[in-house]
Amino acid sequence: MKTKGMIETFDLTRYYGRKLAVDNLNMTVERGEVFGFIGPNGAGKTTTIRMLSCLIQPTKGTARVGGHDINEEPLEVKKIVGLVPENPPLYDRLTGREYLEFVGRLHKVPEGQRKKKMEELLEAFKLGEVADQLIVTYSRGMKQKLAFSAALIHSPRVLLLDEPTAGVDVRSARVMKDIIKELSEGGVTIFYSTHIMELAERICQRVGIINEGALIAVGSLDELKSRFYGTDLEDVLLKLTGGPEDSDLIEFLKSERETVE
Amino acid sequence: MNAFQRIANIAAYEWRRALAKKKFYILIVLAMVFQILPFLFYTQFPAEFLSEEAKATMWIAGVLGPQALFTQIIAIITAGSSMSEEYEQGTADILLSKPIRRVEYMAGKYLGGFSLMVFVEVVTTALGVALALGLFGSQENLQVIPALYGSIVYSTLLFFSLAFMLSEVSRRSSLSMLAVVSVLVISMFIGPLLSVLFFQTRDLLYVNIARALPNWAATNFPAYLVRMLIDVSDNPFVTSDPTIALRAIMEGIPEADLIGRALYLSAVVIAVYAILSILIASVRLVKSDITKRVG
Repeated sequence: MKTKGMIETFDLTRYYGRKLAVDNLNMTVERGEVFGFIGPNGAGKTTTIRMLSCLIQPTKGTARVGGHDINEEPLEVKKIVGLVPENPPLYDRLTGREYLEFVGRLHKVPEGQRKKKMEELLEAFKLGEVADQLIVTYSRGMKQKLAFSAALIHSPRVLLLDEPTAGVDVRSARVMKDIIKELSEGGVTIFYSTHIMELAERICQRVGIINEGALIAVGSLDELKSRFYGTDLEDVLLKLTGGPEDSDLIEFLKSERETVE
Repeated sequence: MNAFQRIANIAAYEWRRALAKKKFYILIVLAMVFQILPFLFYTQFPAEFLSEEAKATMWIAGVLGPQALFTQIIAIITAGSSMSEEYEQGTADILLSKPIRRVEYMAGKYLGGFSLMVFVEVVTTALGVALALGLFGSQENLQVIPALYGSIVYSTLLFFSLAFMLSEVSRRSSLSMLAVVSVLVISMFIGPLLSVLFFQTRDLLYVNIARALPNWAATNFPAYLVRMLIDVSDNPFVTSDPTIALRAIMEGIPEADLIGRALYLSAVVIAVYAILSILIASVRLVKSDITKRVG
């Protein structure tokens, strides 16, 4: 398989028992691109991210991240990926600084570079004052920011974000948005799953819409709006994933994609 | 970073995780209390019951005392939540999305938890010896401390591994701990019952069944080793296997030979339980998904 993009999926499929969670996903995300991955609850966004971060294996198909196959070279994939899971679980009994130190060590970031990066991240996310407090005392937003910092400690080439701004205040969300833009300009590929359409509109260069495990539309915001006659991304999403009145359109789009593939 | 460093990082984290729990300290304190109380009880025995020879080996009773129950329970508590808590709290996602192999992750967790047990057993062994020296004066045969300590560490492998395996298989801390404590308690009751049946029927089948129970090997291995190394027949507090004497008469084999065989068999039983448990846990971890937070 010849590598084109930073993230490529090839018929990526995942079943949970008999339930189809991700259905023959084929997509490419280029280097430095901020790719929004949106869809309703249970659409398959988190399952896709968990496969790309090698936490679960696909039932069928595969993906390449930075040229490394997720089934064949999971360790190589993990080296270049930073993951911010939804409601990030952290080690409550460590301090914020200790946690970053621990994650940095697991990524083999050299000590000098690790300390420097830790201070930069704590400063950027305004966590410096609480860095030596136990994580158990942190608010949800602070935990989210710490998880974001930890995902960046090893300077990843690909950042997988699963609802990273959930529970984060406006100011912190703005900081995250600025950092995402900066990372993208620096060549980091961002795969960004979110429910917040405004944010996706503002920072994503392209958006993929997933529904019932299938990728039903991909394109830039303008392309999607013009193709589906939507006023904004929310409108497009509702048209594509809305209620029973839209089921004909969804079925048509699925069959259209199958024909193209 | 090589595999050893990655395992060491996880092991160090495991120490931190276990030491952050209050119940860990409560159990250590309980183990020490239940180690001190019997000693105070022993000092009340009449002089004719406790010979000078017995007093000189009281440290052995002190070291073996906690190993019979409390050390096993601490091992179960430590290992029984080791893997499952990571799933319950969702932190397995964080660790396993890092460049570390699942087998290395498991090795780090196992070695971290077990090395903590090794440390706990240093404390209980030292306390047992210190109490014997303080309450009964000069002690003999102290040269066997390293061997006895090593045998206690080895015997802990059984329940530690069993709890560790169930922790990974069930991915529920309370379930895994309850299941293994139940196994320990039930086998503590069934073992003596089978011995009684053996005494009544003289059928060796009952002894063989008792020896397959996890409790038999885990608690008797260090005692058999002591009996192989030194003579403790004068000490009523160093428990012996009552079936050995009857078997010696029945089979016409010297007791020392039967103790040697029992020592060997208990070592094998511990190894079998530990290896099987580690294998099952490895297969479960490597072959299955990292489940999302379940707690």
